Amino acid sequence: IQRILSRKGGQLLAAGAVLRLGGVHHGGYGESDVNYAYRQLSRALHPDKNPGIPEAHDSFKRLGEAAEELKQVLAESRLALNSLCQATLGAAAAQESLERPQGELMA
Amino acid sequence: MSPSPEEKSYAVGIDLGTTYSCVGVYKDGEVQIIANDQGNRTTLSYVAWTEQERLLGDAAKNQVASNPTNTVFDAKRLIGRRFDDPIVQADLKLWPFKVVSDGSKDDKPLIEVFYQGVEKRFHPEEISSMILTKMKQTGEAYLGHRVREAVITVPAYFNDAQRQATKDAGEIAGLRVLRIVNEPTAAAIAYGLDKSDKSGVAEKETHILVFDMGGGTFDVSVLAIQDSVFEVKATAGDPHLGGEDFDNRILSHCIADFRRKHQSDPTRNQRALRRLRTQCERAKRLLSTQTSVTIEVDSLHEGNDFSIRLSRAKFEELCIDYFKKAMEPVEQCLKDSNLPQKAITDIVMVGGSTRIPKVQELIKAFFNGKELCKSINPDEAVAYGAAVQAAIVSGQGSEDVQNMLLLDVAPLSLGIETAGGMMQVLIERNSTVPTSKSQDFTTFEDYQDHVDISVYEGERAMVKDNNFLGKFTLKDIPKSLRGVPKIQVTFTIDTNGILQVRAEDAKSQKRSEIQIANEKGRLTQNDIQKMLQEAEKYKGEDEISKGDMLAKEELKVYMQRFEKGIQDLDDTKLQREDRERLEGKLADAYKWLENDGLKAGKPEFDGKQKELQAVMNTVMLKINRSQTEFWDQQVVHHEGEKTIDKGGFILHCGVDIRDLIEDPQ
Repeated sequence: IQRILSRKGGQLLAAGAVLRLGGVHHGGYGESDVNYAYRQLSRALHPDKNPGIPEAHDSFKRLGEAAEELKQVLAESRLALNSLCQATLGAAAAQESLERPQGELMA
Repeated sequence: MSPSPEEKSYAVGIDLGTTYSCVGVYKDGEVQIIANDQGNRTTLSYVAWTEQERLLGDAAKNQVASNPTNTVFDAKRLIGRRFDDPIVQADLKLWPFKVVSDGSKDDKPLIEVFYQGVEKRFHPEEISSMILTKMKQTGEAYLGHRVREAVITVPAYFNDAQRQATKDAGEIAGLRVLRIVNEPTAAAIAYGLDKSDKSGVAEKETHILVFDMGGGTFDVSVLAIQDSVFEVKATAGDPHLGGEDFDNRILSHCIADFRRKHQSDPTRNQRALRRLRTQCERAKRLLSTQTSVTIEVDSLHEGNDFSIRLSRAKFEELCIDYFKKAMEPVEQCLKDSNLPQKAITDIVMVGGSTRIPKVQELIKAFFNGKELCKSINPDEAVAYGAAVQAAIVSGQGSEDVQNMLLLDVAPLSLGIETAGGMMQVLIERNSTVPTSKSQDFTTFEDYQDHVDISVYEGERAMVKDNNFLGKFTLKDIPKSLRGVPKIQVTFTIDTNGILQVRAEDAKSQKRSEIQIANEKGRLTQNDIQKMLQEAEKYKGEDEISKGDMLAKEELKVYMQRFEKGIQDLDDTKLQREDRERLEGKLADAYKWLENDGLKAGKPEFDGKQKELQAVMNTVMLKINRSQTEFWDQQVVHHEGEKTIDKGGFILHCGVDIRDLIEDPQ
């Protein structure tokens, strides 16, 4: 916990780093992955678990923002994938590919 | 209680309910709900003042019919509200006790009672603190240790002022409030633990909906549970909807019926109303299992008996608008959580009012006939969860518990007033707490040197429709054209859901901040100190009054013995004048007991007893002196008896032993 905190103390943690810390699937991520990472990390970063560490408040807030950003990106890439599929295949993208859109999008 | 070397102190979880309160503690790896001195696992949230003493909990309710104006309940409906609040005004009409405004600009409500013949006024916080003290004592009696820390629950839909006020109540009760937890969240913990016990740790993400309808408040929360992390997704509710409202409906139905039958109006008769209300509440409970019930009160008003048959269908008809109203937050909550209806795996029912069949039916219908989860005790779940949270926060308990985490949300959007009376939201509702948000604002006019920042909570676009929280001013802004200064306003919500606002001018670095609730509705630190002292005094007074009662009883017993003593002595021993003196003293004492005895304390009772004893002693001394001869005779007689015994022995044997000794041959 201290390690994460000290790293996060000064500079802002990038959204991707949150995921790396949380452990993530190769070839993209879905909402459930973000949520899972978010919860695992909040267990470590929540002020409740870090009594007496004032930075915990900010790190937890940063974590929330990061998760939001990721979901935002997710929604956007999902939209992109959908329109791409519409254009190329003439049909909406399949459910499973929408789950973790990044991989499909690259391909 | 002996102070152990490493003074162990437990943190308890307290469900401070509108009608019932409940206390639990995490101990030896499990949660235990603690029964009070009456053996009940829930305690009524009642406080009463009688001529002699203050009563708490069940004892207070037991005497409610004879003392309705000095028996206070429903303090939770007043807490953190203003006197002119329309909800308070509506409730006033139904309460037998008197509520007045404190007359200050905050317009706080005060509860007025008569105690020992003196008019006393209390803040709702004080009433709640008395109930909390009772719960604390219940915990201490069970644990055998001091209880100094507690987690207290509030309805999820309580606003900032109400949360603060509840926290204050805890402080007045001498408790360090570790955390204010939302009731449905606490219930979800109870559910989550219950589930993971049965089916192993649920790694998969599950969504549940908690439907919490208690005596006075109603909450709905949607939570995601995964790997012992409880994340609240959304919450909604009505801080003023619950069992009491149903009671009131039945009550007015009965009153209307009584009026029709007897052409007389019992509404001014507080005692009659109270008796009828008790019966209405009982009827409501029975209707959860029976299809019809008879409400009967003998000699309710002006000698008229009252009896009415109430069917479940009629009850449902009376309250159906309330039930329907309860479905709106459910819908709202699901919408806010961005979850489809079918994603909800379980519907957890908490609070006494969820026993009502119609409520269950409606929510079942809402979820297309999905079975409800009733595996947890609706009365105790909240205290159970609070106890777990207390263990988490205070660092007690097993690894399992330490691993758990609660992520709660702010129930209402928070923002400030901007030009034109618009609400600028900084923190959206259902944001996970703790959180903070900043936004830049600027001046509206040229050369404006200060800004007023008014903070509101609520969902409406215009601030006038929302709840005003507080206001503060940022002064000495460097003079410049409008729109040039940059004022950064930061909202911070802590883990208790309590808001702090800070404003900063970017250029001059001038700062101004408030902890919102300090401004409005909330008691100042001074007030709290004063109330703490008063609570201490009450505690002392309660003990003194206990001593008083004992002394009084002793005196009474002594007086009875005294009376009997006089009767036992006949005229030959007791001279006429002495008898008169004694009887006079006794009559005086009886008179004193009847008049002054009500207000007297232990020293007075003891004094009176000594006085009587002194009189009795002098008289007895006199009697004894005149009887000295008599007693001498008694002693002589006694010794004579001894000799006879000796002789008797000789006679019995027929042989004089002394002869044998004298003549051994």
